[in-house]
Amino acid sequence: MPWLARQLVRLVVVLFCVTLLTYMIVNILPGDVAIVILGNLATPEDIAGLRADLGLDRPMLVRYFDWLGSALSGDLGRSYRNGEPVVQAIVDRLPVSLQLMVMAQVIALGIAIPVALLAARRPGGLFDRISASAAFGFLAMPNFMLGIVLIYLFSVSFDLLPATGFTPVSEGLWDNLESMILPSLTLGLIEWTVLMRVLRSDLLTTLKEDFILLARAKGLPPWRVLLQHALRPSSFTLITILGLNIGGLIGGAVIVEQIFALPGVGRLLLGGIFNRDLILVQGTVAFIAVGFVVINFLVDMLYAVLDPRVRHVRFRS
Amino acid sequence: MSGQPNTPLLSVRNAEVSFSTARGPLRAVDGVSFDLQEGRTLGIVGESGSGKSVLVRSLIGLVGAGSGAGVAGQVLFEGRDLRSLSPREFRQVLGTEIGIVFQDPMTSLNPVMKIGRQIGEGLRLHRGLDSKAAARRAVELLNEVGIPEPERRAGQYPHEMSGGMRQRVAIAIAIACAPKLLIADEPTTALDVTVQRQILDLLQGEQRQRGMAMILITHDLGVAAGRSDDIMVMYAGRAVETAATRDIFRSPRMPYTEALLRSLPRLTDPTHTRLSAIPGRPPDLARRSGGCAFGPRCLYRTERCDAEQPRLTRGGGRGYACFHPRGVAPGGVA
Repeated sequence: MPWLARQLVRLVVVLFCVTLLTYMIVNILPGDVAIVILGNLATPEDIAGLRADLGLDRPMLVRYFDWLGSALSGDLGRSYRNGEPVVQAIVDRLPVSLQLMVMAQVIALGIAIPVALLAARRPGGLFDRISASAAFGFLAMPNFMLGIVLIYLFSVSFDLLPATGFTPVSEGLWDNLESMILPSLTLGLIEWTVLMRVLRSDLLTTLKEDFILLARAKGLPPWRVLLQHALRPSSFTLITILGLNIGGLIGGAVIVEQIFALPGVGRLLLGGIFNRDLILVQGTVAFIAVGFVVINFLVDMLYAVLDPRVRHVRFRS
Repeated sequence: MSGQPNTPLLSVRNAEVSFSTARGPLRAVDGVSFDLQEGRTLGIVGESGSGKSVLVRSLIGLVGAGSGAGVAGQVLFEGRDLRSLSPREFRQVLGTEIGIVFQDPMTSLNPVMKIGRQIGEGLRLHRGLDSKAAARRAVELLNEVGIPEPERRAGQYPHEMSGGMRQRVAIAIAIACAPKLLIADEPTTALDVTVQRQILDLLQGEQRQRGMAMILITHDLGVAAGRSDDIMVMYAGRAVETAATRDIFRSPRMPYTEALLRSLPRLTDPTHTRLSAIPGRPPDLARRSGGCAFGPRCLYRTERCDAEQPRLTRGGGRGYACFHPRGVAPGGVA
């Protein structure tokens, strides 16, 4: 089977499993949206009636395939709480979350790549040791704590950036960026550590290769050897981690959106869970899962861009 | 300075390379000296671990910085002391005057860079060619080293080529900036027997046509035999015999050289003649004894060999490090 077809089949299987699993887990959660809506004083008859209205009295698998059927046609249902279409709720909040993650990723890579290159130039040297300590320091810090430290530093002490809230791009690019800098830093400052360590370690392996020796024998200056010969063949693990870390980043975004009061998908999800708005939770989780799988699919394609040997194998098989 | 008679292109004096290991310092190259004249070929022969590759790599700065290796001795290239140059000047000399071909073309080419760009890289940096001119020159060089369809090949990656082709590419890279010295570090060891000869012929052809000097590093005396003017035999990090190739083959002085020659198959031998092997193993360089390093494997070893280190004595255009040289009357001169 051609590579692309294999990937697509895998995509479908993964999505099916993820959505089914989510549906089951969400249904196991204690509590009931009918109780949340009607309050603690409602009679059992009222609750049963509302459950029947919402379709919650049917067996779980029936409801799942019902949901799956409409999900495939692009309809994730309506929120039990306020009747808002789930798709609309996600689409409204998606730009905020996307911007947060893209900016966090840019910050992480922007720190990780130069630091890894400098550290790999002299392994065991002063810069290498300092950057390793810094990386472990940031890695050990929970993101909610880092977020609060950043708010304290940049908003409270120096009053440089807003502490919370979100300004859409429509109200000015700079204002928008300003409101996103601290949340993105909170995610990026933790994310870069792993990326840096992985890239540094791969660089050290690559730098021992004969083609690096040959590049040096050509009389190339050290920085050109690093950037033009060593960086690209060393970036494959980095790319893998980048894809896998999207999961962690989404988890981090849920918390960071909460700290900085950003109207993103993470906050939507959290609100859904607190309200037992199962259909909203299900839709959001399914959407995030699709995003995760699709991003990793794209990452997989990126290998072919970076490594001609992968391209070679794929177009042959 | 170049062009003057008697000024060697490359002159090496007391080259030393030592590595610090967990078991103490290891002297991989120990006081090696040699001269190489323009246009001549020096074969450096020795078993793996004899220090021949490390020696040559240390001369051109590829061993040292960062690896914890200690490098000492003097290296004069066209009379210029390479070790006193600034890093920038040194890279200029290395990139334009010296070309190197490594052993394994599977690992010595960058797997994610197109062939043409790898060849043109030095030309752009040192000769100031723009990318178009460098690409054109790369195609010409591919053609020169005998690669068919050079235009198409220039746009390919190393994995799309066979080992022999890749070694041709490596040679094209080495000669791109028209160097005066070509270093071939076991250039055929990793290749199929059928293409070994083609690669050696190509190297020799390029050398003659361009008037380059060449250092041919090999563990195979047979390879060095027809392709070098002089041979330096290395053992345990030292030069143990140096002579014109003809003299080495006609009358080796050092018992190690003699043993190496005996281990070569000869067409004149009757079939099923057992090849003679050298008993024992090369010594552990981290635990040198005070005596001759080859002593424990030598047929002619005496007490003196265990007690004292023979020095390389030169005379009559050759040199050897042995108390009991072959083909020389005891106590006499060659």
